Amino acid sequence: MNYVRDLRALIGHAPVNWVGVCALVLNAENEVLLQRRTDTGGWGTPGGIAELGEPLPETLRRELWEEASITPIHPEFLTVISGPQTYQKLPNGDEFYQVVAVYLVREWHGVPVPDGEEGTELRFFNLDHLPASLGPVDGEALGLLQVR
Amino acid sequence: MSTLDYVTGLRRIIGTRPVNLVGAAGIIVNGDGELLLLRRAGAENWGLVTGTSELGESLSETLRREALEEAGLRIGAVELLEMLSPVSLAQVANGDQFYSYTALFRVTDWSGTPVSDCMEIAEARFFSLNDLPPLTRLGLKAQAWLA
Repeated sequence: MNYVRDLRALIGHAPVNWVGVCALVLNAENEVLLQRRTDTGGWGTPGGIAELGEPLPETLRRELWEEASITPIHPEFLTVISGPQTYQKLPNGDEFYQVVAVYLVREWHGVPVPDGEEGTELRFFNLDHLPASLGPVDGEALGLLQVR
Repeated sequence: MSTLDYVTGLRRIIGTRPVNLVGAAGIIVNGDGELLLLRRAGAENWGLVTGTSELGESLSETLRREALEEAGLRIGAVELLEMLSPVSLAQVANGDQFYSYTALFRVTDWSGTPVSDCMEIAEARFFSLNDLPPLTRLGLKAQAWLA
């Protein structure tokens, strides 16, 4: 199943609302797990777009497994980020706005390993030394951690 | 902009095939602790102010717009309670199929007197929690949050 690819085959690059999730994975040192993405070249939180009809907690589990080979334990729903500031245009021309459920993950099974496809590198970052050029949603989501 | 713009534009291209749609719904309670419920034209069960987001529209803005369109209410502060994922494929009378992802808000500040738009909405009024009519899934969610 690939909802995004199937819909893009019909609508081309036209802007669309994508609903999905992002994960704030925190280790014992309160560092957050980020991945370097192949689509944008920048660092970002693990996560992605829901498949057709997929419940968001399931999207979270699937994306964390696909992108980092970990399984979350008791993820905590924090909020949903949406609105005009979420707009992105990918290098391939695809335009979209995002509606992103943000989950906090403090416990998980497995050891984070990048998948080599969507994310080429995984690393835990100190919240005071986050990489520059985070996407609009990630900036807002990580901001939630700064005030906690 | 009306709700028709984004979804209608999308439907022109994709037809009736299933799609993920995102939107918002609001729990609105009056000073007597009564819950605002709406009955859609042709429906038997009562539900909440709700609707689908326009392109790039924030979920709280969607709720604000729908509250005004559906019930004539102006909404101030809102609090996000939960993000509901779809439980099943929905289909409307014209055959359009979709899965709904709905942000459920508690409205903590609003003004106005509920009036139905007399098109989409057949009736809009407040109900005592002790005397609720048959409820939609969203109506049941509101009941659970207020219990």
